[in-house]
Amino acid sequence: MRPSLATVMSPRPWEAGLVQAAVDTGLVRLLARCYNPVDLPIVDAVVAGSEVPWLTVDGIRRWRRAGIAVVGMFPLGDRPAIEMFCRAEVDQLFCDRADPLVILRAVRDLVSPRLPTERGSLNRGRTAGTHR
Amino acid sequence: MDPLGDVSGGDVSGWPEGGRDRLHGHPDLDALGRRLRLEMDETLRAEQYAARVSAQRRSTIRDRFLLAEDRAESLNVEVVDGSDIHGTIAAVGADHIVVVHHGRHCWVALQHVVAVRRPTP
Repeated sequence: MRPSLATVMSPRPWEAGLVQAAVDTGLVRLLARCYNPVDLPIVDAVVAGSEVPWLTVDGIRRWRRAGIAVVGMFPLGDRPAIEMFCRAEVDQLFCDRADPLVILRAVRDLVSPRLPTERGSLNRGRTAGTHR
Repeated sequence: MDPLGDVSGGDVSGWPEGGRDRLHGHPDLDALGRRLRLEMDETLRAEQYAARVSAQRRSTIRDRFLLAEDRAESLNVEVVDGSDIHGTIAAVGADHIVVVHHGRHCWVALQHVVAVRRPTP
């Protein structure tokens, strides 16, 4: 089963590249490119960049509590962005120059083991990883 | 008096410690740092809005069908002969879509699509 994914709309090239890769490969079902937090549908995972002005630690924690896996994207060398994502305990971190296919496969791997189980109790025991 | 004006009313919740982290050095730099951060947030908001507008302007009807396929969405597809084809978008090809309704598959050329509507609830 293909996991469902949403991205947070971003002016940075990584987001358009990720959307294009999702469309081209079909690795995930891309349900939305969110402009506002309220645009986020029920999804398995969301990918958001630190450049999004409304992205907060509390917001990311709310998503995770709802059972949504969160992948954070940061510009190379942006320590405050990395610290913000670490405080929010995102499921995975990527530098925004990462290959979109690597990100999509990470999303699939993050989500796939938990698809058959009940949502909301699935993130326990996981630790965030960082790819640069 | 703060020579840079009051910048405490802005939304700094996205910043470390709610924007209260201080620049090390002269205390006046604290207000300057907050102001710069708020201006940066304004710039980021404008950039995000521009990204949305740009994405909308570049989108095609095929993009909309791809989204419908991923969402398993039911749509009414009006074609050139005036008829409506209702069903779930099961697949999107390079030049066609596949609409499924009650197990029946219908292949529609993208160039024959006139309008797409969500079914009225």
